[in-house]
Amino acid sequence: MKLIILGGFLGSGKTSVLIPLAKEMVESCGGADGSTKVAIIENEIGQVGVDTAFTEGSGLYTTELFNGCVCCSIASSLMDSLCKMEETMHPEFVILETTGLARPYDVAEQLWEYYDENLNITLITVIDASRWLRVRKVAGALVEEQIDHANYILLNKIDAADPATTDEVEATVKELCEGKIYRVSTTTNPEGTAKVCKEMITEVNSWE
Amino acid sequence: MSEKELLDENIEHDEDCECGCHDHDHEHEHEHHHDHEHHHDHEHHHHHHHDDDCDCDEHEHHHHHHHHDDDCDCDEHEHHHHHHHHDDDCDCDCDCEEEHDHDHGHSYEVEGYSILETHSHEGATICSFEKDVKKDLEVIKVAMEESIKELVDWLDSTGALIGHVKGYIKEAGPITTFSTTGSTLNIEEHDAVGATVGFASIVFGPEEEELKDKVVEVFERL
Repeated sequence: MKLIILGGFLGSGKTSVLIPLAKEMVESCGGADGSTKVAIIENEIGQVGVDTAFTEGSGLYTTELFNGCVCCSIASSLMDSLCKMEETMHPEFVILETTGLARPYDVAEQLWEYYDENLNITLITVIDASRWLRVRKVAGALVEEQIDHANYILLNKIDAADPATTDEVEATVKELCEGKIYRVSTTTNPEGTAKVCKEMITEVNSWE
Repeated sequence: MSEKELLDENIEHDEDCECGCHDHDHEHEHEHHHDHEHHHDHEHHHHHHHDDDCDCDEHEHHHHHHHHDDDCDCDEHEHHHHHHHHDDDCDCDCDCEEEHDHDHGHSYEVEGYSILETHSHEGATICSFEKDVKKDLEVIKVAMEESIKELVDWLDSTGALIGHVKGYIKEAGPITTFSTTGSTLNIEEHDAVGATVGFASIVFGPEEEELKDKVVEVFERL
């Protein structure tokens, strides 16, 4: 089982990346028959899960973890969910979409320490290029730690950011993280996003 | 608190705080410590996990994780963590009188709402609700749009940083019921009116109570 932790600050576009990412995984698992090999875990911090409304209809198995953040207060619920999925579904891929306030690497560390030290985890962090610099001024430590150890950084919403801002964000991110950086726009260029997702999944599959 | 004030606080915190930690709120678990290089030098996180021998006196109301091992005689799943939550003996310095949930959030009983709650986490204030609305779907959509716009305008006017504001309307669909006393199975179709509305806002600036009050106010039209 490969776990993809899809993180990033609030409003960065995680859910918009989730669907094409899941579709590429299904393809890599054999097309429509592969839909049972991909599972999604949605973590939302409030008691009311809104993001699941966006993913409903994807046809994928989705588990919801509400009312807390998997990097701290409901880490044990995440482990329960993974354990249940492994036992009942034997998925090839699980995508965990974290809350926008989570630190993906912390989640990975807890899973390696308490769940399975050999668990194959890939960290993908989505950044809203149009407002990351502004958000960093208010929640700098959080957004910097969200890209910590990320394998892939998706600079999203580049259509809403001027090129100079996107360049500055990319340069700053490069100083903080050695992960591969892609520029995407999930709304104006879904084909480009799908291509990036395919490339990432192909690479993740090659790591075995 | 405005975004400017948040920014000032953030800078002051970074300059004065020995740990350099961002503003952890009191629900944050203390096993979740980071090193405090803020990754400018690519340092990795250092985690400090409390165990049975731990004699630290950190925030008493924090969750302590107890990792099960081979000697553990509890009957729970091997990898479960045990969480200690607020209870009657809790001596944390929170002065609220609302019900504490496991994340130290607050649940409110307000007529018409099946769920209405707030949290504070990582310096952000979270307010979410769910309610059933017995109105025409188009009326609900318009009310939802107007309410969200009004809330966003208010947040902008206070200088808050909007993490995200999201909502959904799930239309009540027709219901098919089945009933029998053993002989005949009665199957009936029923129309359902209205929808379930879900909403969540995560913002930096307003306090929980303030945000909750504003949310209830702007969604009054639902």
